Amino acid sequence: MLQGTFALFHRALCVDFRLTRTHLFRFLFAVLILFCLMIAHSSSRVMGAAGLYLFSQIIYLNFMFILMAGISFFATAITEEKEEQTIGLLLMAGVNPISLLLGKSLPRLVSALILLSIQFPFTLLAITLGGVTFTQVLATYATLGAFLIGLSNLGLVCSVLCSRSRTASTLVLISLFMYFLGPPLLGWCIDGAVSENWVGANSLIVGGTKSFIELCYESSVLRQLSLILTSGFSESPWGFQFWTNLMAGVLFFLLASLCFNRFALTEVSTDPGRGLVSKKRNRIFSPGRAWMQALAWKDFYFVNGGLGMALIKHICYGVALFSLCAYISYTSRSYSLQEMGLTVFWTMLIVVLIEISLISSRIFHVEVQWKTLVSTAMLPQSMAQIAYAKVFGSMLAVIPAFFYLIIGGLLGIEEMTQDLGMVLAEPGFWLTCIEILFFWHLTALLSTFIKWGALPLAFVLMWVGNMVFFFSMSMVIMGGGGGPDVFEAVTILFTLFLSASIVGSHFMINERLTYLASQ
Amino acid sequence: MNHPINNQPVIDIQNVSHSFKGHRALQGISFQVQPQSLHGFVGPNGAGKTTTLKIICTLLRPQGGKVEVFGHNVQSAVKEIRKRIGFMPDHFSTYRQMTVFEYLDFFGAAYGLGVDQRNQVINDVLTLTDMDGRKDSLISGLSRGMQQRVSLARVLVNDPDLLLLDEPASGLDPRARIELMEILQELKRMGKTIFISSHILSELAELCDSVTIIDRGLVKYSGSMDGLLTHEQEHPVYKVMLEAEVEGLIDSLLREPGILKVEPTEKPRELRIMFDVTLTNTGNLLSKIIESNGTIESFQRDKKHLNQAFLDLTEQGVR
Repeated sequence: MLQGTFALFHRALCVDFRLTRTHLFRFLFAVLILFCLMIAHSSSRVMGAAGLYLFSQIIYLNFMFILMAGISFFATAITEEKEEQTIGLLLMAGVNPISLLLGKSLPRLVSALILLSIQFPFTLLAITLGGVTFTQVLATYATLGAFLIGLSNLGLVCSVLCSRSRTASTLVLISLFMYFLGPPLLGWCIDGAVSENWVGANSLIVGGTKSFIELCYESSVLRQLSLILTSGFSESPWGFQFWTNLMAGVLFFLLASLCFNRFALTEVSTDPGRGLVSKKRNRIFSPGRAWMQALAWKDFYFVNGGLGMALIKHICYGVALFSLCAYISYTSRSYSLQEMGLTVFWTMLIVVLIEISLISSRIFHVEVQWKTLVSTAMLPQSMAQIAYAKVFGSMLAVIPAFFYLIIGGLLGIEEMTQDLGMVLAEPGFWLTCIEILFFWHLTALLSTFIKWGALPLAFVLMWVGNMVFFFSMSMVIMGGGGGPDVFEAVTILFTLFLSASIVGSHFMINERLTYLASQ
Repeated sequence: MNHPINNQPVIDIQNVSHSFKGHRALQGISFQVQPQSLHGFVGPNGAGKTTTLKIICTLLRPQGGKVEVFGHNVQSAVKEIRKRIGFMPDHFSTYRQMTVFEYLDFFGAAYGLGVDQRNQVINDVLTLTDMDGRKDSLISGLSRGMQQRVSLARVLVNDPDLLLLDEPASGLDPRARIELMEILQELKRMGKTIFISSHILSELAELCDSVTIIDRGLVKYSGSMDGLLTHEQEHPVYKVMLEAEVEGLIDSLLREPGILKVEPTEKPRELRIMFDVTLTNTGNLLSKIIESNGTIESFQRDKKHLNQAFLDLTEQGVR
């Protein structure tokens, strides 16, 4: 049985070693730790417990990377074989399902654990800088290790259950939301139900739910980390969270093994679906005749779902916003129309940002994935014209969200315009806008280079970039290198730099698409 | 829309070279394709066929040499060239979630055709490719041969003067291959210039007027199909299948002036005949067989010879 596992393990390590991007990623990680160390060293002059500060930085950095790995790296262990249609071949070669699961998940888990363990000596420096004990370091790595094992196996289950990497990543993301936000939401609901006298405070259901929520809290990696990082932590490194996360990992692996034959062996169609787009002409959900802006028509209907999806979004957003406003109105004493407008505006702004982020990760990637870039590139248009037409078509899919955004904006216009002048004069506002634009461009560019995970990678890069920028700025200010004026000037320069990068990314995307079309 | 024909070659490739990551895919190739001809581009796997095709269709910029299509340089007149050509890659590059009609309608609109014009063009290309009954079918639900026809129909939507087809018959069953070749012959009759790549010379032997053979980035032969045979061997070889054995036929044929070699093949009642084209021709040869009381069942150029010519021109080994 282990022969197949070792063969897959060996192959995965060889592939991992040959890829430049894995080495680049590790190098980036090392640079970030060094950066954290520099910050801790600088801040040790002005604050106490610099070691704890350094340690916290490194730990939360690790936590973010583990989360991203869970969504992308671990969630694709089996789906990538499904998409390549190689599972059958592996089974034919005598690799049984358990070996296959181990062989696909273990190398990824080992790579991540190695990345964690090699930092261990560096984090011991935090003890020297002060504020951290060896027990805290050990407990933190045990906590992260157990969470990593749990998450990697959660990714494995999702990878077995889903037919595509994208769906598996989404399922992991939803599971993580439930893990982190489920207990507080459940607690909130149960408190609401008790306060409205729908259930008795001492009833079995309330008691049971509260005990369950408490257990969830105790098994939460975030709660355990914050507990460890408080001064004076002296509990055992192998706490409740460690064992529950480890157990969850084992259970997830067993679940993946049990579900393997049922889900992983089904034939996966590589053909893209039509979704709600009707095949029959003259129907409301039919794409009808191609517009003269043919690429926009194609992207609106066949990448973003067309009118049918727009209508569904319109109804869903409407219902969700109505429910939200009704709930707030019901629970608060006064809720004016303006406040309602602001609720709608800010909610839909988040939706618009998410929708455009998703579009930017798909807009060019689908052409590469479907191998259609060659025929599209042969049209008598420049690659830039093709790309902009695609952007136009995709942006039509955001109209429902924009509709509610504008409605919200109009309802809350008085409130919003009051501080508008002040907000527009803030360099930070423009930096945020440009950063969001840059994030979309970066996602689109990355999606032309990597098979999956462009969106989380862009997110991590933006997060790291921002962290480096703002910490550097804080250091400059703390070190007496300048006041708020310097900060403002650097913010403006950074905004200009990002704007130039956006323009540059247009050329890079153009070059990359031209290159891909010629392959 | 057929443009006036002149003596200018449709494709003119002069000393073109191209490399990928240190590998020299093309090493200074030169050849021409004449208007309204069906030109075969043959070479083993990895010979540089697809690279050449992508340079001709403006997807790839040549690193050295000059490529002109309809007299336009591929590096400077991309849009003009793209309007007049249709390129079918070696893989299905179709939006498989669309129906056949939607797919063709999309490309028609992308080429700037109005609705009425598109209706006409789509009907024409569907008739030509014998896909009339499948226009509302999803592309993903079609067989490989049908999908290849859809790709061909797409290439024809803008009524191109030059068709560039990269291994269009690969992966098709024999019937689909024959039907595809019939469509290509019909397109040739319509005045299109067709440049077709393949790694099987015999597949193109009866279809093409001219052929270019490429191997490891070098042109080994470029010219007429007949020229290929005389290029490799001085005298053509034909195979004759007789209804029944005729005693003394081999001796009587060998006595004829110009007939150099007559030998039985591995099949019963079949003869392989080599003759000197300067002294005799196929008409004389057939007359002599009939005069000798032979009843001919079939008469064809020796395809094995074409394959041999190809093997002789190209080097051994998998690329």
